[in-house]
Amino acid sequence: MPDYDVVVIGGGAGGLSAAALCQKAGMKTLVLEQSDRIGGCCSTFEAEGFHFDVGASVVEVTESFEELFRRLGLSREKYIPLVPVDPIYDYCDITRGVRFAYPTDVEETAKVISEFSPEDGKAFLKFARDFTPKIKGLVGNFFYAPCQGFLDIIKLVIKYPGIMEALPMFFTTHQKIVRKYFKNDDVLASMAFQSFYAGLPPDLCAGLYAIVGLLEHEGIYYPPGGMIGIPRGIQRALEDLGGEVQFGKRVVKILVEKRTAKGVELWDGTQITAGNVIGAINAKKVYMEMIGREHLPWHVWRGIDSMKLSMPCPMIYLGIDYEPPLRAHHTLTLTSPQVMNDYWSDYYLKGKLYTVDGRPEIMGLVSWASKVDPGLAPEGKHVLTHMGLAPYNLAGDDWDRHKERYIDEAIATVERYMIPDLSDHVVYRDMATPKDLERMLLHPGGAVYGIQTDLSHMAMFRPSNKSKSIKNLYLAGASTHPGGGVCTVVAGGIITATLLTRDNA
Amino acid sequence: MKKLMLLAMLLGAVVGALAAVTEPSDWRYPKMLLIELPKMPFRYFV
Repeated sequence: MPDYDVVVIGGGAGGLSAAALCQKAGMKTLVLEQSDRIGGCCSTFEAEGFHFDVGASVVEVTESFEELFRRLGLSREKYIPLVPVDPIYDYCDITRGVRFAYPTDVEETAKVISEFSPEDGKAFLKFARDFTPKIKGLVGNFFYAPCQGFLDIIKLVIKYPGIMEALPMFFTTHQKIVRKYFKNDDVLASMAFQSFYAGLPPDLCAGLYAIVGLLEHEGIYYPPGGMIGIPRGIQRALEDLGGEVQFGKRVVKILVEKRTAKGVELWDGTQITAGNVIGAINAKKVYMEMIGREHLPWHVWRGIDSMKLSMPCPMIYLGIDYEPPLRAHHTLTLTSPQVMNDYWSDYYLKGKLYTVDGRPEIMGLVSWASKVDPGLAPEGKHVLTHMGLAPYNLAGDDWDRHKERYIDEAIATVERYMIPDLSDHVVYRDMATPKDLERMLLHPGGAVYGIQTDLSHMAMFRPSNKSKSIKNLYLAGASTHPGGGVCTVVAGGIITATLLTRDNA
Repeated sequence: MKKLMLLAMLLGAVVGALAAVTEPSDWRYPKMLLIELPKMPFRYFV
């Protein structure tokens, strides 16, 4: 008899969701988390009285949470309280005197856009009319459907024929879709940056991601107490159902016999046997490090080896001694699609950080979490996080050496475009470089979004939620279908648990 | 092997169609897919 029916490697939102559903199905389930904190990059840490979100800063598409808790027979509100965040984004470039915020309401957003581009205001309403039905169809079906192979796709089309309408979005680019609707440069910039959620610039990102800019108008939310509230809520649900989470348990090997997963081995040599293993960490790490070439057919090894990692997102954590002159939870500078495309080819792929006239420009998303929850910082103080995009390997430099300079350059960039006197108010600063993210969260290449999300890495071309080469091995998390992002990995966890419980029924 | 060849042919047709409807200014996307195409049959089995 194995020690557990299911052992889950990794206590992120995807692994926890799958674990809770397996436990609900009556399977004795254990989650092994290598750190002392739940959630992976959807988590929160404390430093000098400030509480910073590690990576993820809000959630959208909360339908996957509702679906998870519906399946668990528990109340989502009780386990994961969420506060709406409105406006969604504030776009800011004080060098040009441009500033506008998008509220959640679509009509109101159209009014905001119309103030400086009436044509694009109308286009936004048309964009919403055209894509909202597709969003409903995709979120309600594609997100929860296993995409193991062509047969699953055929089943999905039969179940939801409307998905055929969304099909062309996979074969065009994000840039092409937004350019079809919007003409104003600032509006285009506000609609195009979401491609980086897929780890690609707008002209290389599948058109599907163009809906993200609209999806956010369904509502974005923040859990009081920080993003850790989400995995902690799922952990509580798992434990209330009788499941178990153990911390400080780093798995180094998946025990495989005759191409069947039999359990895991921890860093201290302890072996835990299990009827099923869920690798809820990066799939490359699962196959290439924890299983190894000797257990995999050559074509599977070649497949996993060929998969590209998404872009790393260096995180800067700032504690400040005043209320920043921001207007929203999220503030962004406006970067044109062309600049984003050039950044990819001229800088990112060459291991360089972006510069303008030789001056570093560390663009990124600034999150002001203590606007929603002042309790995240000591009284009168606030927390800011800055999520950028940067190469894993710096040409001619090393992240450990460059770290402090990167923070200085990012603060200078934020001062230039958003908060003029920021550096005078920073009382705490730290950073997680791509190398740190790799070390802390075990994300190869610091890729918090897992495997890159382009057409060649999507659905059945993404690591399968149920392994096709190792029996009793399942995968969850950002590197599996449907992809990265908190709510997306929860949906992936639901798929994984569905496949696993069906196989063990 | 037969399965791999069929898959490669199908993918080739998809990318060919995509390239045919893509404007020259958007060449980077089909180019990327063409580069990735030979790897996709292997990814299918992961």
